[in-house]
Amino acid sequence: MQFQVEQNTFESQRSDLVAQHSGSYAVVDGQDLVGVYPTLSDATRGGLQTLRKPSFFVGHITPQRTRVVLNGMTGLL
Amino acid sequence: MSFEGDLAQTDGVPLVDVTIDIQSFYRSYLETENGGAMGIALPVPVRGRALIDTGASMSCVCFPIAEQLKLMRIGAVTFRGVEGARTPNRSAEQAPIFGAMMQIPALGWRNEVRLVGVQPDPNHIAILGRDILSAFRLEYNGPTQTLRLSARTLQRA
Repeated sequence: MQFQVEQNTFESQRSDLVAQHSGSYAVVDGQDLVGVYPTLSDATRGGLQTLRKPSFFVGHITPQRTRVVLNGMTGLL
Repeated sequence: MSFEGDLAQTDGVPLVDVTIDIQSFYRSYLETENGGAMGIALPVPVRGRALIDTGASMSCVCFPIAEQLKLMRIGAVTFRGVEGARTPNRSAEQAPIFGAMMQIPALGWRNEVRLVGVQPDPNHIAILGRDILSAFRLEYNGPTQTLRLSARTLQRA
């Protein structure tokens, strides 16, 4: 799965991130936390400026993964 | 501002016009020398109809549109069948998450959003889920065959 390494990195740091930056967005590249930003727009802008590529992981810093329901299917974001 | 649709013209399917584009900073970045080195041509915003789906927790974009716009990929989600749903035997499906700028011209609404990539549909280019619809009041009036989408107004005490 694309971004599996980044998802694992994000999950391993989720509790710490929630404690300090709940509601913000984190940009993760591989096993590195690139930065934490207050909004989605700031995160995608910051990730692009730092990583200089149009594909990178952005995680929403919430206590639990967000449940996504779509067309009779469910997943975790 | 509000949008009023004639459901009789869409077989009762709630649709609204939207414009999908890359984020303004991404467009600016692509126009720079560094962006040009990525070899990505500047895409043209795509306007089309979006399906209003209160059953979807997250909004979506059809793959051909995401590919045409070269939308940024900012995540992924693995879907599995919902227990008891009509499609219990569907295997897990992976879908990318795209970052995009979406506009609903009739409502003067414009925001950066996360969109799940979904299979194309001939009747719409995107799906408006509850993540976006939560900003609006939606009225589906079956007897009068009208659809009304308007900016949510705060209740005053």
